Amino acid sequence: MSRIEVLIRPIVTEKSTTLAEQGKYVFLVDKRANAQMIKEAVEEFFSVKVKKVNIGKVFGKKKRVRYNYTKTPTYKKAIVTLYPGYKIDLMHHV
Amino acid sequence: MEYKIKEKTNTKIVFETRNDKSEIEEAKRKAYKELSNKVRVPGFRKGKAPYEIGAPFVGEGRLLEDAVDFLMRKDLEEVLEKENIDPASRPDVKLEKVDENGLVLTFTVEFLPEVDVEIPEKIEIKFDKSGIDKEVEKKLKDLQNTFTEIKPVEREVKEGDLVDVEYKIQNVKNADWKNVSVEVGKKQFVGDFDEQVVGKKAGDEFEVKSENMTVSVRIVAVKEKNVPEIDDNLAKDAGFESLEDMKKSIEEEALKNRKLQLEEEKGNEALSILADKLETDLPEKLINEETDSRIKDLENRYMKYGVRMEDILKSEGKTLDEFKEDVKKSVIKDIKKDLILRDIIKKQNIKVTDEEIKEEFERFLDGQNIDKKKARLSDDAKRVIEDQLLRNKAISFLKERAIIKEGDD
Repeated sequence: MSRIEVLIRPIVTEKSTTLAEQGKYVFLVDKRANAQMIKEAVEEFFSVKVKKVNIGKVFGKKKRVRYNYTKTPTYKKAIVTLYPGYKIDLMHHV
Repeated sequence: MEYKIKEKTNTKIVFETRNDKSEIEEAKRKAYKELSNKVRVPGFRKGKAPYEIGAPFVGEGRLLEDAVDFLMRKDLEEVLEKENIDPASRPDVKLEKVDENGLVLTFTVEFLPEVDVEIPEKIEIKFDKSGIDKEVEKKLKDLQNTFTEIKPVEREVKEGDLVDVEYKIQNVKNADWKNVSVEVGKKQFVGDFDEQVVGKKAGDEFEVKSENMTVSVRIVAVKEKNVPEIDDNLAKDAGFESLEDMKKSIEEEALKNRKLQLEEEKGNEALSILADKLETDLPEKLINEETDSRIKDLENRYMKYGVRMEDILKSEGKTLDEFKEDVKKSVIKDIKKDLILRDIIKKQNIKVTDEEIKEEFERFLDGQNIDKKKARLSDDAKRVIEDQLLRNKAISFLKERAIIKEGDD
C-alpha cells in the first residue's frame, strides 16, 4: 500500500474544528492503514512533525429503508496530534 | 475609512467614502455571523461553523451584499457624527465601485439649515373683518327657522306645506307601510309626488310612479309652515328693540367671538407671519417626500368615506397638480415654522424639566382614560412630550410679543 492511498480526506465537523485548535487533526483513512503509516503520510504531505496518532474504527449504523435494512459504511479515522508550533491549513489542501 | 466632502451647501452635503480590503473582510465576517444561523453546514450545528468553512455555503455574493450594506450604514453614521449633521430625510447612496481592493460610496444627505431669525419686539397681526356680513345673515336665517311655527290645518295641500304620508312600494314582497314627513315643492319624495299631491286632502290615496317602481301613498295629515319675515316683529320676538338693533348686536357678537379666537391663536398667527417672511434654502427631497405622504394620507382618509380624491378636486375645480402645489406650499411653511421655533428655543434658552414632562404625561393619561399604574413613560414618549412642551413654550413666547391690530387696511 503506497502512502498516497493512506489519507483519504480530513473530517470537518464541529468537533474536529475545536480539536484543531489544540493541534489535533482528524482524518478519514484507509481501513488497512496503521498508526505508523498515517504518521509517515501526514508528515510527508503537510511537512509537519507528528507527536501522536490515535486511530479508531467507526462502525456503520443499521438504517432502515422501508422494510429492508442497510448499513452506513464503516470507516477508520485517525486523530493526529502534532508537536506544538506545527499547523495544517486544511482549507488549502482539500 | 476615508472620506472627502465633494459639495456642501446650506441644506445638502455630498461626500465620498472609501473602505479598503481589510474593512470589507471584517464586514464580511460580521455579515457571516448573522447569516450563519440560517445556513446548514454538514458536520456542524446551525451557526457553529467557522467563517472559513461556512462562507461557501452562504455564498460569496450574499456575503458581499450584506457587508456593503453594513459598511454603508457605518460610514454614514461616522461621517454625520464628525460633520455634526442631523439628516432631514433618507440619505441617497450611490455605489461607485466595489471589488477586491475596496469600496467607494457616494452619499447625498439633506439636512435642515440653521436659521437666524430676528424676532421683533412687537409682531402685528391684522384683525380680519371680512365675511362678517355672511355670518350675520346666517344667524338671521337660523333665527327665522327657530321662530317658524308648524300647525296642522284642515285644507287642501299647497306648495310649501309639510305633509305626513304613509307609503308602500308596490310589487315588493313583505313591503310595509312606512311613515315619512315631506315638505312639498322641495323634491324630497320620489317621482312626480310634488305635482300630484297639490290639491289633495288628508285621507286621500294615490299612486306615484317613478323610473323603476310604483309607490302607493296615503296622506295622513297636512301641516302649514308659518315662516316669519325678517323684520322688526321678529326682532321683538327675539328680544330686541328693532331689526337694526338685532343686526348690530349679532355683528358685535360675531366680532367678539372672532377676536377671542384670534387672541387664543395669537402665537400661531405670529409664527405664521414670521414664517412668511423667512427666506432660506430648504431640502428639496424632504419637501417632496412630505408632500407626497400628506397627499396619500388625505387620499386614504377620503377613501374611508368612499369618496375618490379626484372627484372632490373636480368639484372644487382644481387639478391634481394645482392641489399638489398648494400642499407643497403648506409643507414649506410648516418646515419654516419648525425652524423658527427651533431657533427661538435655542436663543431664548427654553428648557423643560422632568417634572413638567411627568405632569404632561399624566394629563395625557387622564385624557385617554388609561390606568396610570399600567402606563409607563418610555424614552420615546418622553422625547415627544418634551418636544411638544418646548414648542408650546416657544409659541407662548411669541404670543407675548404679538399685538392685534384693528382696522380695515
